Formats: sequence, structure tokens, C-alpha cells
Amino acid sequence: MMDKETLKQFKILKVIKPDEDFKQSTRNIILAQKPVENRGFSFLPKVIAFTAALSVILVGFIGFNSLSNPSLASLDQEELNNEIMQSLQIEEIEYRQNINETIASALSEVSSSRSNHLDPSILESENTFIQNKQINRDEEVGELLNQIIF
Amino acid sequence: MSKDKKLVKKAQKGDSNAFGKLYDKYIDRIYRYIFIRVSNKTEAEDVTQQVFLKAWKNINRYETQKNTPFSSWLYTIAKNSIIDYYRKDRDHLDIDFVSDKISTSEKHQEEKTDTELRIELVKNQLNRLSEDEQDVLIMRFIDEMSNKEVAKITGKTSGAVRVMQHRALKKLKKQIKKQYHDG
Repeated sequence: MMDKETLKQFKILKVIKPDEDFKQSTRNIILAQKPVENRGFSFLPKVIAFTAALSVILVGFIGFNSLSNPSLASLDQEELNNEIMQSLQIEEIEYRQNINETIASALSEVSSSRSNHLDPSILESENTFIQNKQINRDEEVGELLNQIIF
Repeated sequence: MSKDKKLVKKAQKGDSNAFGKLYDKYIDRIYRYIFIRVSNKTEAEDVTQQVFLKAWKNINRYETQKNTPFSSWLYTIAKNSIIDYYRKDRDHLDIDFVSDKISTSEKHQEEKTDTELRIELVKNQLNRLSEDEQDVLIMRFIDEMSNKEVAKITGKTSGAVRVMQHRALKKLKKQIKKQYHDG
């Protein structure tokens, strides 16, 4: 009951109206302006936002994968340094191994009493072989000359 | 499609006559809503002009395919303009202007009609309520909007609007009663 009375009093505010002059002049002022044009690309902000979100996800995914991907891990500076160091160490080991083998073989030859170039029996057999070859060669030459002359 | 939406579509294509029709339809309601919320007629006129100017300039931002009625969109602009008014203009009122307003108000007190005095009385009582409570009462009982529409403009649920309406009426009743007893 009291609410109805309050509302009745409250509804007196309904009689509030603007002046006719104000209404007309404001109407003229407003309609003399032009609305902001619709650029026709209202979808662009959504597209840009979507692209940005997609890029973030993609970059994040690549970043995460690069930790386990060997092809991309090889671009890591620290990894490259390690690889170079390992390669240098292998070359050095191979070089040292060759030197050691050469030295070992030279030492064994020097220390051996039966070295090929000093062994008298070998020298004598070589001498005999050369002499035999010489005799055979002389005989072969004589025969050839006989064939040519006669 | 509603008549309003057809007019909005035309206005969005640059038809100022279509927007003029919308202006004619809503100017009284928007002005009244603003007048009740701000301190005087001049300021009510300024804010009302701003509201319609913003609406016309940004008519292409209103999306007709959404379910928001044009009137709700307009009230939302009005509500935000009132918030701006209180944020900016109220801070700049100097003492001379305020005292001038008071003396002018007192001077013309005798010349005011009974209706004007009653309006001022109810308006003063209403202005003692919170902003949301004022909005709910004005929109529900002066502009005769549905709970759903009010909820959309105020950004609250229909249930919250009903509760707020009940509380606001109770407060208003108490204040008016007190005023009559004191007066």
C-alpha cells in the first residue's frame, strides 16, 4: 500500500520534458555532423588477435621442441664448441699414434742384430744372385748376337 | 526486424533523417533520465546533447544483429556520460558558481509551481540513493523498462535488479515519509 503511494509520488518525475527550443537546436547541431565511417575492416582486429595468439603458440612450441631437436640443437654455440674440441682431440690422438708407431719400428730396427741391411748372410746371397743374373745375362746377349749375325 | 533496427540500419548508411526519427523518439526519455541524475537543467541539456552526438557519431559501432535494443544502447551511453559528468565537471565547480546556483534556486523558489516543487522534492530524495538504485527506479518506473532491459544496461542480473528495486523503494518511502513529518 505504502509502495503504491511512494510510486505515485515518484511518478511525478514523468512530467519532466526538455524545452522544445533545446530539442530542435540540438537536433540540428547533431544532424549537421557526420558519423564516423565504418572502415569495412572491422574483422581486422579479430584477425590480428588470432594471428598474434597463433604466433605465440607456434613460437612456444618451436622453443620447447628445440631443446630436444638435434638439428636445431647443433646451432647452439656451446654444442658447436664441444664438437670442435672433440674433433681436435681425435686428430691429435691419431697423430700421436702414428708417431709412436714410427718411433717403435725405428727403435726395434736399430736395436735388432739381424737388421736386413747389416745381415752378412743376406748380403752374400744378394751378391750371388746378382752375379748369377750377370752370367745368365751375358749368355743371353751372346745368343742374340749369333742369331743376328748368322 | 523492429522499427528501431530498420532506422538504425538506414542511419548506419548515412541517412541522417533516420537518426532524426530515433532522436525524436528517445530525446524525452533520455533527457528525463539525465535531468533526474544531474544537478540542473543546463547540465542536463549539455549531457543530453553529448549523448545523442556520441550515438550519431558512433552509430556504426552499434551492432544490429546483437539482441541489445537500440534504447538500451542509448541508455548505456547516457549512463556513461553521467559518470563522466560527475568525474570531470563536478570537480571544477567553484564556490562562486555553487553559491550563485543556491541563491538563484532560493530566489525562484516562490515562483515555482506546485508540480515543480514536487518534482524537486522527489528528485532530491532520489539523489540520496546510490547510483545503481537511482538507475533501477528511473528505468523501471519512469521509463517503464522490463527487468531484463534494466539488467542489460546496468550490467546486473534480473534477480539483482529486483532486489535492488525493492530496497530502493523501501529507502525512498522512508525518506519521503521523514520529509513530510519534518516539513
